[in-house]
Amino acid sequence: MKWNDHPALRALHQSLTRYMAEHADVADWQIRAQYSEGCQSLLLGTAGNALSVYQDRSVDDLALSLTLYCPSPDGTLLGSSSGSIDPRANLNEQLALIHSSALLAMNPFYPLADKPTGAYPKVESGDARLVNHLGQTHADLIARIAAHSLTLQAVQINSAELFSNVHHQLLQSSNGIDARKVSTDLYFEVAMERAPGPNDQEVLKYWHFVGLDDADLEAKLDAVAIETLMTVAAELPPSRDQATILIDSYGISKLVAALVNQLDAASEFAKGPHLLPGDSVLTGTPQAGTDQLSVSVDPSLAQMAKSSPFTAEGLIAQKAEVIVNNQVLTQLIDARMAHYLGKAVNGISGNLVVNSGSLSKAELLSSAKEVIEILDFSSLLVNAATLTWSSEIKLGRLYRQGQFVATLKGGIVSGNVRASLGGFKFSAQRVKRNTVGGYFEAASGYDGPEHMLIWTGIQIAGQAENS
Amino acid sequence: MSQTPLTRPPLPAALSALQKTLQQCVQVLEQGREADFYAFAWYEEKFTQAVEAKQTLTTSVTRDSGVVLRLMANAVQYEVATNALDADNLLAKATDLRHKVDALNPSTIASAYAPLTWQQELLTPLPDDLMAQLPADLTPTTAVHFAPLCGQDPAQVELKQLIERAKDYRQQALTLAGQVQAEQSDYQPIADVRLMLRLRTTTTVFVDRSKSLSQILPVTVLAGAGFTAAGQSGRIALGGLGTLELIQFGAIELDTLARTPQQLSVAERLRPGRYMVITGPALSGIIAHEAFGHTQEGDTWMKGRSIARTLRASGTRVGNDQASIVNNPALFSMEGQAAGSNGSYYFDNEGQLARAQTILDRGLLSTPMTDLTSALKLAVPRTANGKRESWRRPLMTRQTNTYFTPGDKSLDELIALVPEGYLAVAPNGGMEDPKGGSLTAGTGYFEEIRAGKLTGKLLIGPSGGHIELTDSVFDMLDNIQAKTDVQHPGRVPPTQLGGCGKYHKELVDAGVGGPYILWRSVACG
Repeated sequence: MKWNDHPALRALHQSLTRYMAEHADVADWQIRAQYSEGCQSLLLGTAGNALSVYQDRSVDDLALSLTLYCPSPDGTLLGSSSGSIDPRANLNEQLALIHSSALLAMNPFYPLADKPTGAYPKVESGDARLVNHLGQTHADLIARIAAHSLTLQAVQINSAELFSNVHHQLLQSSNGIDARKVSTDLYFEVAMERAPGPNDQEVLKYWHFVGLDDADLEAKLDAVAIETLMTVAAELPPSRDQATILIDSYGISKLVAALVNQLDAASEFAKGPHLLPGDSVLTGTPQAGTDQLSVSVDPSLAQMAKSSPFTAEGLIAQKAEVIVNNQVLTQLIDARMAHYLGKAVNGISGNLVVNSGSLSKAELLSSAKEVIEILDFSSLLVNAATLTWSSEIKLGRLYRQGQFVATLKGGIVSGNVRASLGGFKFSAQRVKRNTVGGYFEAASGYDGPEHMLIWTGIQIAGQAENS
Repeated sequence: MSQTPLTRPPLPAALSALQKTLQQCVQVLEQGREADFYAFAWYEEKFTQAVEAKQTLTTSVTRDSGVVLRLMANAVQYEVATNALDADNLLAKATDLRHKVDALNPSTIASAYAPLTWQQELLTPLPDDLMAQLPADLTPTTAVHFAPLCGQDPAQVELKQLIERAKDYRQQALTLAGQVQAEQSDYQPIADVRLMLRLRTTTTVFVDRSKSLSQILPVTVLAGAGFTAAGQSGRIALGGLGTLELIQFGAIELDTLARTPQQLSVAERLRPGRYMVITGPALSGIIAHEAFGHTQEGDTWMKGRSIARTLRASGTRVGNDQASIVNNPALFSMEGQAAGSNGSYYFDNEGQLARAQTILDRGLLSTPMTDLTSALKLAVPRTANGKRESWRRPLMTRQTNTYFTPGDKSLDELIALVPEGYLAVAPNGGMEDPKGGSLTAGTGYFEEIRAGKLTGKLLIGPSGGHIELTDSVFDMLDNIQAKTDVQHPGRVPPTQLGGCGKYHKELVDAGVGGPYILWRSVACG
């Protein structure tokens, strides 16, 4: 894939040059282009865990979009609008539509991001094996899944999905920005239940990977099988006004991502909840024995979902410590927000790197009289504004004095991220996880502790002890 | 005052040529193997004009289109999807796909699928709105086009109209918010009001050996929130299948944006527990969608991931006599609105024509909603539930508009039945476990009911956020005490805009609705 020779991009540039020569009020432009190729397989489990593909898809997708910027004559306002570009349709008409839309959307003026003075760094945002051999690599992965599934005992695989994608991305602007990257991703999902059935519980797990080295599919299948075998005789959790819970890296990454979102300067500009340098990330007084939170943002980690040489505006993406020992060090400030808020642009963006704790998972479980381990949330949605969260427990385990007592299912666990940071411990063991992003989850990369014990700010609505 | 006559948007002329190319593609895919292969071609275009009004104004105009070529052989659906839409490329893609499937299936396959002819199709009644648009002479190549009655031709709606409305509504809300703050200084003030106004016109074309269909589906949405600096919010979502005439921004919406967030800033927190709860139409609809919506999806049955299959086989009752749920893609009017919701269409992504289906009838389960694969695998009737997020994504069995049937009470009568409980009208998502038979649905806040009357007091969740309602599906559906009535002649309750991600991805439009429902006891936290 070579953008330099791409006919659609070349035609757009030519049309844009002609159009701007005729329309002096169009001062700047930004082009985004992405060419994606994908393989998608949906699989059905059969007896003995022989998997069969029932939907086999290949996708190619060229997406071009253009933003035009039109400053007001006095320079105080800037009109802008974005639109997709259909290479087959009349380009001049499409430019005219975006232009007219931009004139209808005037906002306080801000300058576009400057072209970086240095070169973009090299960042490994994809896996060359997927880039160069997508179809064969996808087929090999399907074969691995199918072969390992046959080895699983006492479980029934109900279904699985594997998507493999390659994206060639380009960002160009009128002030000379020309940023390119190639990224890859894999999505693997599997649903299992105990065998023989019938059952009233199953385990559904999914993962995003950027490269093949992290795509330990056999280990993932084994882990799901182990969890599936635990799905026996579940009961409601006990109701608790102050519960102690153990969550895994899925939950930690969601809570930390929501918190760091409030460090984005756009949150300050929006006048909603936000955090400023010097603010404490926790509410209330830290309890004895609690860990402290430190977070870095790093765009340079190899093969992670938020690894990129450049930001959404084309700035060189910067690594930084943003929270140290519960205190905010810096916000994430892009060029537009820097201008609006009168702050310095810093281009900080990337994956979340979270500090470790000192205890093992077993030590965390035995460090409180009663711990409810949440293995699966039904739907963990963190409110980005209030930083509160709530979910049904899809599958959990109750421990007392570190000893397993019961499998749990149902009830509602709720919490507040900032309150929880007053009493928590991270595990020593670390893990990486990626979310490619979509409608429901923003893209995120997480490198941090595998488990987190929380004993403040957590309520559980379940079985009343006296009923 | 004279009203603008309603019109049905026609198919753009440019797409007629594409229809012919798609027919050629189907021929390439099937030719010589019609007895054991089945193919179709699908074109989808989403033209979206959107405005977001907050402290800044953002506009966008996007057109996303693509084609899916499907060839089914030996129960496997092979597809190629592309947005390089020139005829030569599409025919080349069809040829390549045919070669691939030929190579994988060199010999004749038994029991292939044959699509219904028009004659066979019409043996089962179609909804009036579909019948009214069928031409007299129906052959496999007759171009059959469907569209809803609209107040405007969606192609003529300009972004400027959306911008003016969004800015006006936002300003009205900010003005009211200031008045509320002046009257109630203990409230935390509104930090901002954000509104999104969008007209998305989806045009689809379906071609197989039996039918040539097209439809235009304009969906107008006004959604947004008022919020305080601490993040307490009041949210609205209006609109449906049609153009700007469906956006009726009134006192209720203004109050929700301007007053509710301020009231919530001083609201007490709910103590987790079990309560009597009345859910409003949107929340009732989310429970319907989650309760036995996902569980009744054919691909979930097919994968052994739903409890519904064995429950239906055993004739097990899963709810009381009030527990009736309908899935209805052919919803083109409802209580309070002479238009459909965003889950409405005339045919699904596999060309199956829309008909309503009662998926739970007074506590008894029907056969599932299906796409082609699951219908064949399960040997149950096909329904119009084959949907995909976009041409880029795989097809699955998905819900369209899901709603509880109405009852016989007024809302006041329902409230009078509650000695101590809550009214929940602000939906906040939901999730179901089709295998485990549990569900969860969220609400932004509760309104208190004491001794059969609303007290005016609002409550938020135990941690200061939203409130989650959860229970076993069976307990939930056995706890329906009463439902409100509707005046709609087709007995279709209010059905609001909704969206669904199957488990956690594959977002599709899915309307949710129902009457107000009184639940005897629900776990809330």
